[in-house]
Amino acid sequence: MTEGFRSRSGGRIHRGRKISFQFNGRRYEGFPGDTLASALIANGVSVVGRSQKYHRPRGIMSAGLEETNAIVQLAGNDDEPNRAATTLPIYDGLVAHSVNVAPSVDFDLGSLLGFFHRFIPAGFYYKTFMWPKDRWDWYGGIIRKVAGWGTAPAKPGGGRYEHRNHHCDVLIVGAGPAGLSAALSAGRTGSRILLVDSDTEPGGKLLSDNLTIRSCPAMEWVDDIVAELDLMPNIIRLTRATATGYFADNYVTVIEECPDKPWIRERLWKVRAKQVILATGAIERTLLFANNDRPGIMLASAAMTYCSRYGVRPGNTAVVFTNNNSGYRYAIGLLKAGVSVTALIDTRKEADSRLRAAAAGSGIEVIADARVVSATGRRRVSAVNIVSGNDQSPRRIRCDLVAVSGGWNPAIHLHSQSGGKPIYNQRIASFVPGESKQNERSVGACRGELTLQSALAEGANAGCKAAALCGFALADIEVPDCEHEPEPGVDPVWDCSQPGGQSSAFIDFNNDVTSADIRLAMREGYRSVELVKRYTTAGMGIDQGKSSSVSIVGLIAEIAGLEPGSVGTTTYRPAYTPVSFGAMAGPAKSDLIVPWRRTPVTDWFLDNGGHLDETGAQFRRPLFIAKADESAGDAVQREALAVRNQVGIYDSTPLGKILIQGPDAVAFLNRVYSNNWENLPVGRGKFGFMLHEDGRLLDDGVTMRISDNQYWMSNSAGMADVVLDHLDRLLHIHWPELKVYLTPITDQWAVVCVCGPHARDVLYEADIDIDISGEAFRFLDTRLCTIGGLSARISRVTYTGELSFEIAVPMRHGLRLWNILIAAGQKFGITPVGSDTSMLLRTEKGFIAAGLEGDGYADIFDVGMGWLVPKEKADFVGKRSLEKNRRSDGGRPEVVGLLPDNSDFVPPKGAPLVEYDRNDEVPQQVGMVTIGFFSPNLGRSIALAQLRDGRSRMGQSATIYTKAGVETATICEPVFIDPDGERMRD
Amino acid sequence: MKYSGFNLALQSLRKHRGWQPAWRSAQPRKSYDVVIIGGGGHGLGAAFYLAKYHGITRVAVLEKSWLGGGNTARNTMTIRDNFIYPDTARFHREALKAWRGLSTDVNFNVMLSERGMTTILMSERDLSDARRMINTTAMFGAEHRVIGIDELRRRLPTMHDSQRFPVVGGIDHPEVTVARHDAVAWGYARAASRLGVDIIENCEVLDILLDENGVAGVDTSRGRIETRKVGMAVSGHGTQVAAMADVMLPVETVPLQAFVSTPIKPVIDNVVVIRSLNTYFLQTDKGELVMGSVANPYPSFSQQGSSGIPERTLAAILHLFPAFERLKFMRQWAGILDLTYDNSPIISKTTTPGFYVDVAGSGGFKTTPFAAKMHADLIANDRPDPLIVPFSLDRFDTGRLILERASYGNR
Amino acid sequence: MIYIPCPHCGHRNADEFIYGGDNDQRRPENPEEFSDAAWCEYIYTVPNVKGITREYWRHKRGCNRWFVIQRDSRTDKITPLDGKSIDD
Repeated sequence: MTEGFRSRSGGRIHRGRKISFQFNGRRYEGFPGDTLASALIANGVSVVGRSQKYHRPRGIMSAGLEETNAIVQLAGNDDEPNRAATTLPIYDGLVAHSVNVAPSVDFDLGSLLGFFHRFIPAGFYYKTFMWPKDRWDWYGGIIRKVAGWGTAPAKPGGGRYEHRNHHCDVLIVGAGPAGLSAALSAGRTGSRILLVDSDTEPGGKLLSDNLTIRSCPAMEWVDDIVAELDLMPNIIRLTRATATGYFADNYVTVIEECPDKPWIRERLWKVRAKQVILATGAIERTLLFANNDRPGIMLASAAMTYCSRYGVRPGNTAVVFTNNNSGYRYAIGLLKAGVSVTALIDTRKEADSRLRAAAAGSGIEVIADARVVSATGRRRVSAVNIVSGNDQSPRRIRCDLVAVSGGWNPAIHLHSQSGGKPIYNQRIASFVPGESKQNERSVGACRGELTLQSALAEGANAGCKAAALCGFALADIEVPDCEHEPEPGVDPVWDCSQPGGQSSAFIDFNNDVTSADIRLAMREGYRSVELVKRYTTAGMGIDQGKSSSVSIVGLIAEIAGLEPGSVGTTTYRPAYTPVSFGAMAGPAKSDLIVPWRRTPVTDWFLDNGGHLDETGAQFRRPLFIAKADESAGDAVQREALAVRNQVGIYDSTPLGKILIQGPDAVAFLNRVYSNNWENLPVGRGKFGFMLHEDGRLLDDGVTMRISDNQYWMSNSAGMADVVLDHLDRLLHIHWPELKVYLTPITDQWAVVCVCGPHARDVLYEADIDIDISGEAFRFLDTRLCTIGGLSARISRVTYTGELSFEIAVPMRHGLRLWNILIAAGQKFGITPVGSDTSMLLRTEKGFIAAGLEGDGYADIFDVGMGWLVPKEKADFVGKRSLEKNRRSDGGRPEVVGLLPDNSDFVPPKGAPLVEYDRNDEVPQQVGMVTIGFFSPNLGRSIALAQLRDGRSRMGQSATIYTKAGVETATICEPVFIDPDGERMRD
Repeated sequence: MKYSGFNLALQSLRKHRGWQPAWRSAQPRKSYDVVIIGGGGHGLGAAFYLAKYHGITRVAVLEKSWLGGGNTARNTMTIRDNFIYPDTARFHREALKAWRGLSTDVNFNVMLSERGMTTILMSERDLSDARRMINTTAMFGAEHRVIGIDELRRRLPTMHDSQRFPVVGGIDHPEVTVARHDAVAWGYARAASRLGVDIIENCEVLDILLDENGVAGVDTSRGRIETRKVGMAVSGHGTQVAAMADVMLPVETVPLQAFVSTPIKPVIDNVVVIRSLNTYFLQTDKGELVMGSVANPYPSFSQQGSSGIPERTLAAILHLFPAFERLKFMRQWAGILDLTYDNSPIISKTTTPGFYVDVAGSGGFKTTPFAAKMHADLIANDRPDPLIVPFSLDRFDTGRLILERASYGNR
Repeated sequence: MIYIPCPHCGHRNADEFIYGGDNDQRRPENPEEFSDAAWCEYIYTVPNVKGITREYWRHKRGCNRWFVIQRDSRTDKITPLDGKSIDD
């Protein structure tokens, strides 16, 4: 370790233990308490990265989360791109390297681009690369390779991330002097408080600025306060916890890194606070002069932080360049830390007299009314050139550190996210919070009150006020005496570089945007701040403009001759600092991402060759149940033959079921279904179609009357939720006068369907206790029974056109029922069937699926169900629209059957039916195959289709278009088996 | 001055002092032949095509804020044509083709890049819908195709499988294209301005003046303008603007959010769609991952965004791409869409003579040049091109809706 | 995430609720007396108010109650409503 840069004592690092880490392949040592940035400075590393566009060497420029240069990649097990070295505590085994360099940060071939910087100003790509026509991807491909910062890890990090909901009275963001002061006064009222701070320890600027409170070092006050807060049961205090987003209704997201539990990598707190106090401080801004990005040029507050908090000297010979009073304090601080401060250059004529005297008294040469116009040195700053007063001949001052203080930008990001409109404040030449749009208040530096005394007083007041608004009595406000800090008295200078100079003055280091770029954009008419930002990409880098955004506004205002306030800011958007995907996603990324609803038979299917697929409504059910070595197609054909010739068994549990109860149930059904529901006897069911109010088909199914005022409605599996919402909405919003209750019972009843010529035999074999002969138990009858010892409801409904029974038992008995029926069916060749098979069978029978044959704007007449609309029936949902829509001329998408001329050709679902008029290159689409199968029972392919005016085209030929070519088919009635329904009524 | 490599080099030697404003910042005149409301891609494009193809140059584009600041600035740049109904499939096919040559046409590089798209299919149902889309769009020359799981893995080597939704295959959409969204507005503005169109920023339309013949003019925050034809190309406030012309539009305003990561070196070439989880992402030329998902579930004009949708979007991405867990979410934003009742566009005459509307329906970036061309043609000739007849407002009278499931923001 | 006051459960996060539409949209009792144009307007258009709206919400992942709130669609701010829940 180079002793040269680390002071012998002082700072908040723990010199008792050394930490070893690697950076760019070299091994270094640091101490607990160091960040990667401070440890690198201690080791004399000055070039830590390269810039995005010109690959200029860059050094550490800040000591916080506004860092734009020291962006590193972590390697090894902690592989992670784009971490700011300034907020990364070092740990044993840390391996990091610079991003976006080739081959190394010290010798970067990309820097050759720097020589061409003149040819590639802001937006250059909009003006060229247009030849050859539409071949931007050639150029873009190259640009993509050189763009981007770190590298995405190749493997999952395996970290655990937690989400936690939290409610509190007062959320305080920031544990600097204002935040701590607020926490103390609010905490003493007994209100529930969450205090979060992004740093590794509380204190904010007190950690580095060597101020005094009650005539003692301010950190003693911090320690006292924290000790008191930590004893209060009503306060939760988090460190390394950053409030990243402020959303509607005081909902704030906070990312906590490395929380108390070692197995959790990050925790996302979703905080709902009655009141929010923002004490987020202010971020120092840099000043623009030529080569202001050279390593060794950093924010004055950062230089101070490295000296006092980390005990490292960021240089030996410093020049301080300031436009406000803060520069004086920092110059003196650097001097005290052993840095030789050659000159303090102040753009103003006047400064705070006490500070100026103190600086002069320390032997610092104060050069007033002067500015740095450029810096020299490439891999490290070696000197600055200054001009002063009317004397425009530059003077050169040698140095290896330039500490720049360009004034302070209140961290108004969260206020802005909360809906507030920032306003420009002349006094500090920056933006401050406007009117609060939510229950939030800003205090201290983030409100533009930059002095310690204001922070302490405002914090204490705000704490009381916020607690009082939550109903907690005011405690005595205690504001400690403190060292008096002068107002910064900032001189708003936005660009000190000399116009027409050869070198660039950078405004956004991260995206390599210079003041010349801003001028160019303005000259080209991109004058609104949003357009400047988008055209130049200024403020759109990793730091999201934390260090640059106000300077951009200031420069625009200067060029346009406007007040910065009338230029306005761009919108601050979440996240305040970048957040890992893992923390945002939380545990939901697992297989729990969408619930998997299981039926009692799901595991049986998994064990027996069931090929599960999405059914809708979050169920998975088998498309078919394959035997060993059986193909999907063969399995479906086998199952379909079994149902027509022996007997099949099917898990109908995912079908939606709604219990409709109440004296007005019939009236309700009459309004939601197109057909009549009066006079349905108890124990009978009826088929019905429901329409959307706009006349489209919604869903079909059988509803059974199971007692005087109780109806059991079935829906398609995928539509169950939609139908329930539709009915619930009608009932509550439109017909609150109807005495009807809806209860979804899908999850309460397991339903097994037994279908095929031997269905009845199977049920008798399973000891059903009622007479289910054709006479005693007709099609669409429903009864209670016991079967295999289980109480059940049995109904005669069919989706296959076969003799078919559905047996419903309480969910917990579902698997038992299934096994009983499988056992009973053995001698009849019972075959479990899947939903593909069921689809094949309904196609043979020509039963309509609302989601397929009813696709698009097809209506109930188009699908051949016009018989369900009694002429005399009064209003029902969809009736008025149906009338309106049917008044327009023909061309309806009517459902037909198709018999392909090539009986082996199975028309694919969705294939267009076309007509080639004239010699159109693109055929006219006149219809669409809705479903097609090879029917094992007919020994040929069949399909259903929507066809324009299809019912008038029976017997004609249709042309089916597929990507592979066209096929023809004969148009027929949409029923291929048992047109009279003898089987199902057997 | 023409934009070219040569002029760029020349200007480089002159410190870029010779570049002129990309568009004239015009003062409103007393009257125009056509006034376009909305200075985004759709509106500026319509003005450009009116001037270029129809010789109508007395055209003003009125923008209430900065050019391209609406949904042109807030989208995910993807131009795709994977629609399932013949009318929308054909429309979006034409829309995709209409981008070709745009940079040359307007002499502004809009960075059109045929990156291709890969859809990950996680159920047989999705696969069967994919086949339907492929068969329908093939009629119009589209080149979508189903790819097997092995090819899918080769394209997306970091993709993991899902227990919940096992991946069954994918769709290759080789022609899906991305373009630099802001540049589309700027390019049209510059080209239209050079043809004589007045581009008037910071000019809010306060009312549309009507007389017995229909549109008579507009009242704006910068004074009254006489005109007989107004083309509306706004998003987010279509209801309010159309109401000024006594037209009720079947739209609802809904926020749609998108998110970007910090920039990383290239990890994916294609736009990737995780269909079963309603999520998609792509990587920009700058290296940021851009991610999007569904629209907010309730209407709002607030562009504040929420935290729930980005959380779910990232969960969906990490479900299949767990190696992205340590990438960094950098910024989220929300645009507001005028979602039509059936999610399909409306480019139509209205019951008010001289008032024409171009409503994107759902996300409208992908249709910008084509919709603008059709809108310009409709305004110039007062009669729709056959390609946009299905997208007229009449469809709501006849109930012949185009309920397109491939649109984002499904309800 | 907006915070919705369910009259039965108190304030809950918006993702527990579903939006139920503008509360001016009651189904007419006499659709057959509507002209086609008036019916189309009822079916397809919503007021889409930019400003204060009164609208239905349903606490779907909670008590399942329907109720009316007053919300400013520009800011999503929910303001007190003097009316009662529609169930009462």
